[in-house]
Amino acid sequence: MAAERALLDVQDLRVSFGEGPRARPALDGVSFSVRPGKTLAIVGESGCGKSLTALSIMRLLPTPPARITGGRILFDRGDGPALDLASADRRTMRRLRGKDIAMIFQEPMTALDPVYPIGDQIGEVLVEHEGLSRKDALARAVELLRLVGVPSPEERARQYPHEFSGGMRQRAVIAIALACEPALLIADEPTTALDVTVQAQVLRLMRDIQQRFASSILFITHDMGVVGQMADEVVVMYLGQVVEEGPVSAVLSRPAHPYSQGLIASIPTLDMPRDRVLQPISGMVPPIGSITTGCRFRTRCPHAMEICRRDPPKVTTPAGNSASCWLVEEST
Amino acid sequence: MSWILRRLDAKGILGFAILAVVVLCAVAAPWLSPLDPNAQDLASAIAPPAFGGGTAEHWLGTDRLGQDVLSRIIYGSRVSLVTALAAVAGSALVGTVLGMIAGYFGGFAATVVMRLVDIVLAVPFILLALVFMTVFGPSLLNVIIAFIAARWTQYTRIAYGLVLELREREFIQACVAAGLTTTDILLRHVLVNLAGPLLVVATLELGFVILIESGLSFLGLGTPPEVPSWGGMLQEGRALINVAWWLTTFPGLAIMLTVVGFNFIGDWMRDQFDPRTGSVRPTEIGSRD
Amino acid sequence: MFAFLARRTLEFLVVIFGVLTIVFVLQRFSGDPTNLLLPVDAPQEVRTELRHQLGLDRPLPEQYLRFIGRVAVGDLGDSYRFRQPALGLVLERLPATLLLASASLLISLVLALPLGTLAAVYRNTWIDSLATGISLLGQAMPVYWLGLLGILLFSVQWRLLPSMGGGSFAALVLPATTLAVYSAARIMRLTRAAVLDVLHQDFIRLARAKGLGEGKVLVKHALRNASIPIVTIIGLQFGGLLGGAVITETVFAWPGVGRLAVNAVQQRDFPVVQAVTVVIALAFSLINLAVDVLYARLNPRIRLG
Repeated sequence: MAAERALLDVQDLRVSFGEGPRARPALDGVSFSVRPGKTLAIVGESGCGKSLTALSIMRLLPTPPARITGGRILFDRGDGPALDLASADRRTMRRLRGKDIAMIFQEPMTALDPVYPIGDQIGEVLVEHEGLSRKDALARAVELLRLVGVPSPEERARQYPHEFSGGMRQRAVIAIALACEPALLIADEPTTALDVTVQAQVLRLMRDIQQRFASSILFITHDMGVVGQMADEVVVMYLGQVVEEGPVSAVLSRPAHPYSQGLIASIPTLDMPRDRVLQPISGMVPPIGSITTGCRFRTRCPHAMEICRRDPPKVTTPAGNSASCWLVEEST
Repeated sequence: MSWILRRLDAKGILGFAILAVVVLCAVAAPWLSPLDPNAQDLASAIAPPAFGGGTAEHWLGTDRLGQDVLSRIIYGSRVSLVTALAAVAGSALVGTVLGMIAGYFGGFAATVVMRLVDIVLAVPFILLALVFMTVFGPSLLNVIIAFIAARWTQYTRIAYGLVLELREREFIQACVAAGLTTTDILLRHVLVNLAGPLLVVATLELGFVILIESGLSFLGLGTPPEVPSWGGMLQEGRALINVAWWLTTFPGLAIMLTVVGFNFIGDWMRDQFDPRTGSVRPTEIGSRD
Repeated sequence: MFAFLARRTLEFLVVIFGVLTIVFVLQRFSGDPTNLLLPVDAPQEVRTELRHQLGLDRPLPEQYLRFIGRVAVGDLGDSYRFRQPALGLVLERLPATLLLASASLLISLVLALPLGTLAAVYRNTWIDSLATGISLLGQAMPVYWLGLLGILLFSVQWRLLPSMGGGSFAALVLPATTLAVYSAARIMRLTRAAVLDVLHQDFIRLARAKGLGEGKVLVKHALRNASIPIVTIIGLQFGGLLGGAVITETVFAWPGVGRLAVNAVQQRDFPVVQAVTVVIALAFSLINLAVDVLYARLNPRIRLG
């Protein structure tokens, strides 16, 4: 793994809300890396900081109140040393966004500007980054719509967002993201707001796209079930920290961290015995910044011990996943 | 009461402070004002304020008839407050009832009421007031009637919109299912939910009425000249604008401060009812002049 | 779009009809016009004859129909004082009022749109506080008082601008600016709110994620969307300007319909007040109709719906 150069290497990323003594840490030393052509999934409940991570990479955090307070976000553009997005200037970021790194948002219903035709909104990226004329950009937009599976794209390109269904809008948003063939695609819960049948179609589309463009995807979701279908590797986050990471097969079949175990236990499956009851994780996610030392999960963990008040070590299991947990430390 | 105190911000405190001063002026005018507002003293007519070369006897100077400007301003608060309270109470009552009827029953009632709103709104308010003055003659009472005849639309539009929403909500449906009479539902359950937004509108309207009433008095269509009113003072001061700046400056400041006070309270109340400060609310779009 | 405009046109007609009806009803309250037209000691026969001439001895429904019929051909009655058609008097002075109101609207927009936008973009900074403060005072100052202060400073003190009369550009500056303050304050407040609302939308974040610069995000996406509610309030403010003109014209002796109306009220010259009301209501409603067309143009949901 070390031999291959990562496309995106996030190191010890820290993000805080607010200033001075009232600042609350929202991301607390997050590290992971995305390899070229692979999909990395970040999983966790709402409030774990997965969307903040995505917005940090794009440098689209709502500042103030949120801001990056530490760490590096190294992005490999293929020429020379990797660029640190955490400290890149605004101009560099602007050129990167939409061209090298594109993002798909959770809410397709509100992600598109209601007053412009879909085709114009896709073409806008090409005019901005590729210097295309408006006419050429529009022609290319039609091709992109066709690519993402929108029927009769010539007509559709002239239509407005309110004439599109939710699933079709998300395809349009994906088309915008793909327009400049970005090296990295960040998808923040791209299917959460969609109907179940449409979800499956959009996921299939994203897998096709990845094979076709050989791009990397950072896939953010709260749904462990989707992770198995989409990702090569997975990072489990809880309260602004990574609690477990590793290859999808290892994490899904032998989750080492009690939180990952809890997430997996709450996936409903078809072959599940009738009498088995889904086990939700007990309790609620505590507010950001309320627990700042030791294992953050200890307030909800079924195996919590006295030692959990101290920061747990990161341990790699024989299966290849590493988890930050005292329990894992003991068993290996 | 303590609930209000705990939630006060700078805006709210300032608003209530200004309001308190104005109300105090109106209630305690005989004790607060240094002189009789109608006492004429031609010997010291058009005297400048104390800090502008005048004497300490007339802090804010005197007018053409030697009447004390400060005393007249203190007494003038009465006309403004009484007009505002009467006009707002009347229009709020009429407007809310009509809006609730239109919203709750819908259909023909709604069509008639809301068309009437459109019609009244098609005539700029001041013109409507002028028509009233022509027909019934200029007087303070007719000013109040004109306000009620025009401004009920503000409450009707808000009440109508809110009742339409409420009608679909489960608890109202439950009331219907429970066999409550329509009057009971409207008074005990619907009105309670309208009170907040309507109170905000009413507070902002208080400021608006004071602003426009002074304008009508300025045009000579409100109070008779012997009753001290801020608008009337400005009208008199206008003729002497070349020689006596204080006659126009101070009554205007009184109007402005009072209106700012009501607007502060209105804004503060809006923030209490709607935490999404600054967003476009019906009350924002609704008010119109 | 066609259905929308057809509905709005119909509403427009209902409104105009309603205004006429109200004016008619109030006219019947306004007392016996023969008292104003004839000397106090006029003989009863003359009075009856005049009542007959004016059609006042007819049943009310017939009077109403005749009234509507006359209005339809542009007859709004004769001024009691000037003894000439009231409509003519109003139309003569209408351009001056429209000029004043339009100039004021222009001034409000030039002030309010940039300031409101800046206040939204630089929310919670000193720019925002300054803009909000200005808008607060602007909404609380009586128009005519501001006019008087303007005269005091610019005409009396510094002798820069004329304090009264119409006809010249210089004479327009003071009344138009004074009149503009209130609507500028309101438009600014709404612009700030509308832009702020749009800036929180998801599509603004997507526009940024596309790599567009902040300027393009603001102008092309934020302002374009915020313009939809702003256009509506501008139409409404024009009514406020026409109303405010009544007072402003009096302060500055501006030869418009407002001053005509105020003088007519003092003389209880009902036909003139009636003509001013109908003409202004018509002008205001037409402007709102135009605003609705613009609104529909700006909003694809309605344009295509």
